[in-house]
Amino acid sequence: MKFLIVDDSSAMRKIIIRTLKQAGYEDHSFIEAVDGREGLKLIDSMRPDIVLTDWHMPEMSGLEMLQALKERGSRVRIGLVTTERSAEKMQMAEEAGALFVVNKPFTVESLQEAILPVLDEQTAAQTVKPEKKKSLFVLPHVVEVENAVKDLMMVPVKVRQAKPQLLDQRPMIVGLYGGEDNRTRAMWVCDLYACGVIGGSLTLFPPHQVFNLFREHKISEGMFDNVREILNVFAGLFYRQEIHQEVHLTASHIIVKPNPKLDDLMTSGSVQRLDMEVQSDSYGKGRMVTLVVD
Amino acid sequence: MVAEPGPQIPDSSQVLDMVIDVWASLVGDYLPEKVGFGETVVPDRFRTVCIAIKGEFPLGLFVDFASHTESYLAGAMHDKLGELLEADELNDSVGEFVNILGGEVLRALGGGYHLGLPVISEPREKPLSVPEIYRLTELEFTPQGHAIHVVLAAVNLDRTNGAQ
Repeated sequence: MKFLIVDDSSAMRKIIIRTLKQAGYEDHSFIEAVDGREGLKLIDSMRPDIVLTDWHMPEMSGLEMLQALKERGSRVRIGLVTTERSAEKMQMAEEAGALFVVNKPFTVESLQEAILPVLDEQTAAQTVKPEKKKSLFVLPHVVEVENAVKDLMMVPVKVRQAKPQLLDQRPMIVGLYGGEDNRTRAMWVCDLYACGVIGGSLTLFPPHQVFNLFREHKISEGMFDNVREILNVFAGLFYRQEIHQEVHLTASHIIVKPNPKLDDLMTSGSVQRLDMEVQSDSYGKGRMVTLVVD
Repeated sequence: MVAEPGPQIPDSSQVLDMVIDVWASLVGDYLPEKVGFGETVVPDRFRTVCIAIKGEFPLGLFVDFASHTESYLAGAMHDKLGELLEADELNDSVGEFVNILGGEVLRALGGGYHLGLPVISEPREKPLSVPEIYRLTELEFTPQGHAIHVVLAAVNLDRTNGAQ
């Protein structure tokens, strides 16, 4: 199947193609046009099976291209990828012959959902669902985490595997890990109490200071620095020898407000996760979760 | 007599969700919000993109990108991460980002509004400062260690020269 992508933004054309490939159209072919005028020429000369076009473009808009195709009696399957959402604009698009409208920003799922109904049954059946890629990073084993913690801390800290549980109390610290391209491929989440246990044990914070932070639901700058240092060391636990990629902590954040996306990620069945409980005699116990999201 | 209601201006947490969605869609990466301290790198240059939101109560959306963030965004959008990018590629990426974000703000405002074209400034040493009195919603999103600063303001960009 041949896709024609019409958009005056070269970045958007790349993103649409990338998303189509992620949706399972990897082995199909893609041609690009910068506006409606070039799009019309390519529809004539290249005969694409399906056209995805932006609305607003210089020279000729997506809507004008649709209208021109309608006047010619063209039967090419065409849809809009646009920020336009108003009912009035949607009606205009439909009257001009758009079979679907995908709103920007879009996801693999929303793009696939729009396109699938307009593909003929045979093509849809041929569309290969993307196989889950083998992750670049490996989920660490709890024993490896315990050993890393033992090497770092000034007092004994126990680490044991725990049942998966949503960490919904704030504040928490989240560390993000990436490889050479800096894309986030793994995360480490520590609830406030885990921050107290590991952050306090690293440089022997006075326990009353840590308990004050628990009481006030705060993470101090010193505590954040300690946890970040530990998260930095944990980067090595995701390393997979065959990938030959340096793994590093790309960012660390204090999260103080509810974050539905983070919660979704933590409840998603498609990520690998390890839930842990960390405990020390001086600072009590807390929870950590590590996720490989790639 | 009851005054006509004004537009439903999205608050900072709503706009932050929009920014995260747009970032995730364009960059393909998930990064949770950054709140509090922990920033370690001082950005060197900024570029501002603004877009007019035209309607009964004209608004302006102003987005400052630190140079590092701009390069990362454009590199990810063009599949050229870590490579030297052309000025056109940088402009195209930040312009598209703000255009899509503007579309999300329009959706929150309801009907009766439409977007102008993005206006992109040259890189500068300081982010654009919209006078506080005009700011309706303001937030920072910090992917890759540098902030994207977003301001939705009661400014009629049709009567100004865009980002100064």
